[in-house]
Amino acid sequence: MEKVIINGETLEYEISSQNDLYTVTIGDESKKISVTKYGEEYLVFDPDKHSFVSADVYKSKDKVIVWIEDEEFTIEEEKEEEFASGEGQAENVIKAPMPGVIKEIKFKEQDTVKKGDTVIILESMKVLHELKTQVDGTIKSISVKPGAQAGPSEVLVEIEPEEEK
Amino acid sequence: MKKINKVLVANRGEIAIRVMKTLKLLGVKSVAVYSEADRTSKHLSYANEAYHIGEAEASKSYLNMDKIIDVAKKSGCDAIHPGYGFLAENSIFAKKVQNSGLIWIGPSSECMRSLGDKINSREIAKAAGIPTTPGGTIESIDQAKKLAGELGYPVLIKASAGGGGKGMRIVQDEGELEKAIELARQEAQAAFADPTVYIEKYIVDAHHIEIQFLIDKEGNSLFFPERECSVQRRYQKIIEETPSPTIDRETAIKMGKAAISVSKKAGYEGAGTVEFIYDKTEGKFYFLEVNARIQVEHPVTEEVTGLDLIAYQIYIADGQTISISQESLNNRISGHAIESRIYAEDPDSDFMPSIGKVEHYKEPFGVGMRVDSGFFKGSEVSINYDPLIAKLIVKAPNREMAINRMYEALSSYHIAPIKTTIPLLKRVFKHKKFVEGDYNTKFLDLYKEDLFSQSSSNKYVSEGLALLEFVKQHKSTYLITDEITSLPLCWDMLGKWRG
Repeated sequence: MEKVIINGETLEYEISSQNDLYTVTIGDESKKISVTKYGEEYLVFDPDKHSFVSADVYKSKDKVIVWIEDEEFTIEEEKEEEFASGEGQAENVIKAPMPGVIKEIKFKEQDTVKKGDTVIILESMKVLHELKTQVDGTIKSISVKPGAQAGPSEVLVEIEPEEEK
Repeated sequence: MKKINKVLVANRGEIAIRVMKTLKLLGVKSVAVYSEADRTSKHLSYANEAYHIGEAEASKSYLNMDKIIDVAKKSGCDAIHPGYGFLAENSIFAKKVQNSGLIWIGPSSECMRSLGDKINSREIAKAAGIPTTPGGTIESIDQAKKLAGELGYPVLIKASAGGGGKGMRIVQDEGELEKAIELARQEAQAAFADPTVYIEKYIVDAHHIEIQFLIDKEGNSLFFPERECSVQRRYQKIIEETPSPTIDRETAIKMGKAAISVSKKAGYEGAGTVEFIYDKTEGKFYFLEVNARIQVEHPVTEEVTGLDLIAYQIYIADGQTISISQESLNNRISGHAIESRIYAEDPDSDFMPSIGKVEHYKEPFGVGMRVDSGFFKGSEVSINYDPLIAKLIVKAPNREMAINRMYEALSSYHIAPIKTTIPLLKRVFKHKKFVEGDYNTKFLDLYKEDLFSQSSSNKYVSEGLALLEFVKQHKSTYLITDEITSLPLCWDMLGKWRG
């Protein structure tokens, strides 16, 4: 269950994705939605109804403003989520930054890793992405196997950070 | 042009750009001035030359008369266009400009001085046979009580030097009168350094309707179709439309003729506007004041007539005569035009200015849509100047279509993260009373519950959440891709993965 604040009101929802199709569930209602970049903006497509709307997004650190058709609303996340490598604080898990297929796992559980080591290679949209550890430590658990589908922000690997010496 | 070949535009933002665009069309060179805060402002790129004139504070830059005149002389300008605001209606500046041998694009300083004093401008209107709102000057408290009693409460106390609602107070009964006069005097003194106030009858179903006019040096004149500007907050307009949904054509022509006679009486030359209060209950109009400048809302008039009012200001200042007759102007008028003012203000927090950087900026475009803006992505809304970001003007064959077009345009005007008046404007153009044309100057107040409540019934929440997910993933994609390509051996490493 995800939690956001839309125009000041809290909303709980679930989102899953398969290939390029998202399923958003709010309460009892589920909706299938696909999104495509459309020039500077986006096309949001409802495959069940064969209808689409155009959308625009502004994203800052703490909020997102969305324009869809004649609506404008602000989405704030309850807590900041870290995405991908590089930016943000170091964390002791490796997440899939986008949906994709696990191509290779370069270590096994209990192996020692150093910050910057590539642990997993994920293929998404025909591009191979190296997912690296941001901490030194030992691999505690690996929850995926090569060939598996990984969803967005799914935790793939947990690392036991090395104690400060 | 005979005399005007290079013009200094003593302004910033959208109006400076608006003037420079016309100068370019006329083959006249333009000179921009800018303050410290405006080193990268949008208006600079529209000018042939640009000069730094001082610090961010307006009093040290855009209001620095001697500096501006000095730049105009040194850069070889023949004339100064003041835009609106800043020095536009400052008769001392107009005098200095004329004395320095430059052409002032506007009415003479004498004319501006006599119209700038509101008590005096009412006298000019009366002398021209134009009704003014019933009322008069205040000699003593007893006399004021007697006058207010004759007018009937409520009455309005106004500052003679006033504008923008400062020094203005509504008085409901005699018990409040003395105190209200005292407070209005204090406010007037603080705002305009002149404590003179006067009493006017307060009109309940009041409409703010104004007439744009042109008068050349030979006394040829034109009056334009009326603009209705009754949607106001704190006595400042946010929506203007032409023609007005309130008055009939016969009244509009009477107002047009009245505007010309007052302005001629005042010795006016150039483009100007006469503001009237229209009492819908009584079906009467009253002279309010003359705005001796180009106004913010001039584009709606341009849209329904196809004329360029800035060009006429320059022609008239250059000594040329108006070549078009009133009749042929009347024949040009077609369709309906509306303007929305996009201010960097939060309408849901009592119009508090929203200061900061414009990080996301997309303007609407399409048939019948015009954006006069002084901003782009990356521009800074600063505390030093007016928070007007842009004017959005639409034109359509009729009022209903114009309202729909405006709603469309506002929906595709995306500005973030600063707050703007766009959400409020969208609610106004969907409001039944506005759509019916049944509104007066109390509109925003009267329907504040419909207009200022934050509706959270969004149809596209699921779509928004899917979009959010998509954007987050793609941001990561770009980040990682950049990281890979920045590695010296990336192709070697990737080689075996790419068949």
